[in-house]
Amino acid sequence: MSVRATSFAPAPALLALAAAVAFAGAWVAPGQESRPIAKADEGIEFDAIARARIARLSPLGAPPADPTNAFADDPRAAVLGHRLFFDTQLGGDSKISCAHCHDPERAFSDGKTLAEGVGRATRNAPGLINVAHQRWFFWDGRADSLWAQALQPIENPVEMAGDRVAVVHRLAADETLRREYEAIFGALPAREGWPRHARPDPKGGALDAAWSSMREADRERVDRVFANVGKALAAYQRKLVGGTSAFDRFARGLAQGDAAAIASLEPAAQRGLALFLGKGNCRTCHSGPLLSDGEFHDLQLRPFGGGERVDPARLAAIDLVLADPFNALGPHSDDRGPNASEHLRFLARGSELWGAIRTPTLRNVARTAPYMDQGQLPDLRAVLRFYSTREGAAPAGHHQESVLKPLELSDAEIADLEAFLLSLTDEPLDARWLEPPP
Amino acid sequence: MDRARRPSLTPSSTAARGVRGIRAAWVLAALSASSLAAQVDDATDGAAGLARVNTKLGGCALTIPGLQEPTGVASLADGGWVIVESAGPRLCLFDAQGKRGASFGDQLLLEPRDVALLPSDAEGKLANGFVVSDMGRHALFVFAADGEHLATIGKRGAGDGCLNMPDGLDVAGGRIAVADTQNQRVALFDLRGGWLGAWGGPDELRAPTDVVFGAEGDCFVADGIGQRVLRLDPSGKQVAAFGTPGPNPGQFAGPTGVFWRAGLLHVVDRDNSRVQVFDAAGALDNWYGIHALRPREGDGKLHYPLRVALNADGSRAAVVEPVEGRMQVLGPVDPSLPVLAPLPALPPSHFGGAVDADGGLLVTAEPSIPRVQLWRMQDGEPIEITNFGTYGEGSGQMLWPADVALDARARRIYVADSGSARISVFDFRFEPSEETGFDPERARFVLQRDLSRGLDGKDAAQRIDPQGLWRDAEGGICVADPRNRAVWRFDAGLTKGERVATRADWLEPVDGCVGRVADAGATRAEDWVVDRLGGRVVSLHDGRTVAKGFRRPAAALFASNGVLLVSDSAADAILGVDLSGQRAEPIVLAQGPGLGPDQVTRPRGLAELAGGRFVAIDWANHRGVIRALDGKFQRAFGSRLFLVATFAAQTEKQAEPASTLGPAPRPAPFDAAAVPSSAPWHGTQRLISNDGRFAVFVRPTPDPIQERQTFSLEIFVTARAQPDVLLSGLDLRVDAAMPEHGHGINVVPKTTRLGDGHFRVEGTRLHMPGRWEVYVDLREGTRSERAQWTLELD
Repeated sequence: MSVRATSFAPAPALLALAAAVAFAGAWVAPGQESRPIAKADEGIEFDAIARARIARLSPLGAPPADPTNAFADDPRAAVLGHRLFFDTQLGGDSKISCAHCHDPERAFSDGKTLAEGVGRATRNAPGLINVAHQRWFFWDGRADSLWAQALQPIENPVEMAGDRVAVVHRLAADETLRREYEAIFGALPAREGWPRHARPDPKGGALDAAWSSMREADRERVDRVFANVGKALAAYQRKLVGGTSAFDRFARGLAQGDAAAIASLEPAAQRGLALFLGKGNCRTCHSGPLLSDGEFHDLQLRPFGGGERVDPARLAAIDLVLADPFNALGPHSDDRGPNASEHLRFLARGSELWGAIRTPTLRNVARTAPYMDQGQLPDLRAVLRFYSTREGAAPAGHHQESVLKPLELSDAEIADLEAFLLSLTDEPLDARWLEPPP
Repeated sequence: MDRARRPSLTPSSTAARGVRGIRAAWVLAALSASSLAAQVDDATDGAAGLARVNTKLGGCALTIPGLQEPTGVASLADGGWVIVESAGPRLCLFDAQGKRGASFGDQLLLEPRDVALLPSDAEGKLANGFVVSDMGRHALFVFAADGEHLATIGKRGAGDGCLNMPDGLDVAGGRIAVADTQNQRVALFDLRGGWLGAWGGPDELRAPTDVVFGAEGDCFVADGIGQRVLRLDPSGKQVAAFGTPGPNPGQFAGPTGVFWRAGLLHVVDRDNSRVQVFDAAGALDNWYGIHALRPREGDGKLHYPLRVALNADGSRAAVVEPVEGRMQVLGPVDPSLPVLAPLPALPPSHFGGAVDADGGLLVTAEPSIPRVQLWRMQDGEPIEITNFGTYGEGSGQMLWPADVALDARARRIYVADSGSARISVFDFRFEPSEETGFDPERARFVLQRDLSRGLDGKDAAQRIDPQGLWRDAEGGICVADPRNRAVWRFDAGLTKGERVATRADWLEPVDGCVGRVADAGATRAEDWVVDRLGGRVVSLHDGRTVAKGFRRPAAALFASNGVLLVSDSAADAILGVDLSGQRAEPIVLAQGPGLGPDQVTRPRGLAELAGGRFVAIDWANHRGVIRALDGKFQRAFGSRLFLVATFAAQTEKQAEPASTLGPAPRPAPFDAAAVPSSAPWHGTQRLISNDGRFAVFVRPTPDPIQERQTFSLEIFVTARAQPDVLLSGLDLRVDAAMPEHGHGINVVPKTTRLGDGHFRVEGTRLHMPGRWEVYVDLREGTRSERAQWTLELD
């Protein structure tokens, strides 16, 4: 990316002022461009600009606090969440737990194109390692917290096909779940006269009718327990953090001048990193320690199985997240203050968000094939080739952003970029979180 | 439009098979409403609403060609249709085989737009009659079934019982509902013409184009500029709205027709060349129609479709296309035919009607995207050097840029946004010596004047509709306003404005130009107005008719050779009138319809280029055409088709005259010493607004601004000339964009007013590395001005 002179450059007097005042970091110093030097068989010598860019990608650090979940870092909630995550009775068919589609063996993804729960979903099941670092959840970002996200698959008819009233019954019926729940959140509500199954459904139906038949105070009690289940599931998922990849060791080594640590990244991966920061423009969207800008972009990718693109994705999700009773501004949020609800308060609704999907993290990407929101691309090579040629992309509309141009990468460059992506795999997580609880 | 009658006759397969224009065997087994409706896949990832789009209509069963600008259609009980031929002007009956029958109304109508059937149980002669909206007469005309004129409803105005440019209409439950476009409402009358009230209004509707009653008395309104469809309950309260601007499924580019049948709403999405079908809740069910690329191309391919009417069981959709002068009747897709994938986006060469040229540069505007393009002339060929325009009502955004004007000396582009009733001004960087390519950051927004509440900004009923715009001889800006049948004049900085003149005998002022007349041995400049419906060009100076006899003139240009050029849209012609009186008959410079080098189809804007040339927008061919002033074809740019390349290859390179572009815009001078050291804004980052009115002092937190990190800004605003006093009476907004990527920010920053000229803005977030422009927009009454800075985040 070349840097042109600032448009409408300020008059010299103003420029002098600009240099003098605190904006200095914000104004452009023309000609700034990283030019890493390749050294045969030894990787790359990264210049100061490249080093600064690398320092913005690592270390990962601890997940940001979630003030909307008062139990986010409560170890008892993590234990309960762990139990719930593997609980096959949480959904509607006694077989499907969260772990069904989020398999610890596959970095908590499922290896399938479209997720398969009770039925077949319309999007790919993403991996969950480092999920606590995300700003938005689901591919379209229709949840604004990890705990609000955790609730939707339980009730989705093609995922776990359960309902929130049955979840309360389940907690009450299982001695361990009940004890652990009540130790954290207090007594479960009395359930006399409740239906076995009920949930709200804007499309109507028997479950919705059962839900409507319940007293409002009882519905509120159910929602409270349901929200707490989400908060416990979130507390568990906050344990699934890494930041221990070869790339992280390399970045630390680079910052500290530790040659051995620098050597953690093989030469091909180092060349790939240089491409990632330079020609590939990957860091335009895959930025920050999560290697994701946390925002939404339209790749103009055709849907799984081909055909016309019909999914408005982010554009539709904005209304959904604003209407979600479990969002940061809802009654079950533990902090409805301006900082906790910042995402919602300033949310823009623009028609250019049609078809936009969330930038996924690239950490552990090697373990979560197939790729993209519907698993359209089988492996990393296919993804890199897509960005290289843009082959198969639907034509862009006039409203769509124009970030993506064919990169025209050579086979060697694709191999180097793939080597870099492979270096983003974390060390194995604490084994006790990967197995069902005893 | 057609709900009152219940057609009883079903078309027989043998009858239909014999009809001219039939594409495939007509499948009689019509699809039931339930099979059409059950298309939304329930198995969604949450409620993303993924519709399995399955186009059920699209096979062309019948084409009725040779219509004179058909703008409305209703299905008759006998399987035929009544069609509004706007350029007739008349109503015409057609039977189920497409054979023309009786026609009527030509003595009364001026610019009819739509038709609805009156119920069979209506009183007396009203039974089975027709009601027709007339945009030119600002009234509804009621006819008996035999064509006898029974009544005229409404008159031009804004009050009860009045209409201003009525468009689509429907009749149900004893009520006539009509899209009262310029009053931004749905007007309601009973069948005898009694006023029942109005729904909508400027807050809900930008430009209603059509209306239809749905089930249970609900009503759907298409908003052609709001790019959405509103659903109103039987009391007129808005209960839902769906659609956003764009080319994707569920989005709209100028919806102009709505029709309810069998539980589904069909919406004609004009500039996307398709009809989209929704359920009552607004979920997309399917769509039909794709963009016709060649002239007269049909067979289910559409070109600016305007309205649709379905038969009783919803198995056939009659779609009128005024530009092509035809109606296509679409039936079920023949499964043996290949599936035609709809184009997901408008072809890149769509041009709106607007063009201007000055100093070796050219500017065009396409309303439906919306987009303004700036071109340089190089060797006789326009080369695009930048474009701008995002849909919205914020500063620098636009809803429907209807016209543009270019001032090369001041390097300014004026944009008349008919959609939001504003004039916006942009300036640009460009050096004629540059080896230029495209640069997305070349132009910037400077200022705007809001006209949506009249000149003084006080009353929405006084809204000015800026359809046409031209620079007068003194450098002022003239605005043609068909809503008020007025012309307004502003100074170049849009600070002062006045109504120039209103003449009751103007029917529809849409554009104008500067003319020159001999006066006491010298020549004097005066402004001439194009009166579209009046078919003439009128002097603003003394009201005399300069030239007349045109059918629907869209634009005029008084060229340096003394010839008045007029693009006559309805006549598909560009005509030259020699005002020196040497030739009485107009010279035909181009005549269509057609795509040949000497043809034009629905021509619009005109502008003179240096070197004895002019450029005309050949609107329906999606191209601009450059000709010598004598009419000789030189070059076309853009196009519906690839023919441009062929034409261009025959054209020799042509040297361009020296540019008369003025110097690059400079920041206005500022006396930094005048900021008192005691002022809280002393020593902060300073911006001078793009037109020099304001000095803006900005302090970010955290500082410096970081990628992906939400920041707040404390902002002080003074007049540039008086930087020691904060200004009162200001409204302030902050926005940001990455012109290089063509997108803005995903947040809406919130402004808190801390005191006079003192604001805090929270929630701004720049989510990517790269070059960002951050904007501070300041509104003072009806006028807004922008201050901005560029920053690079690494």
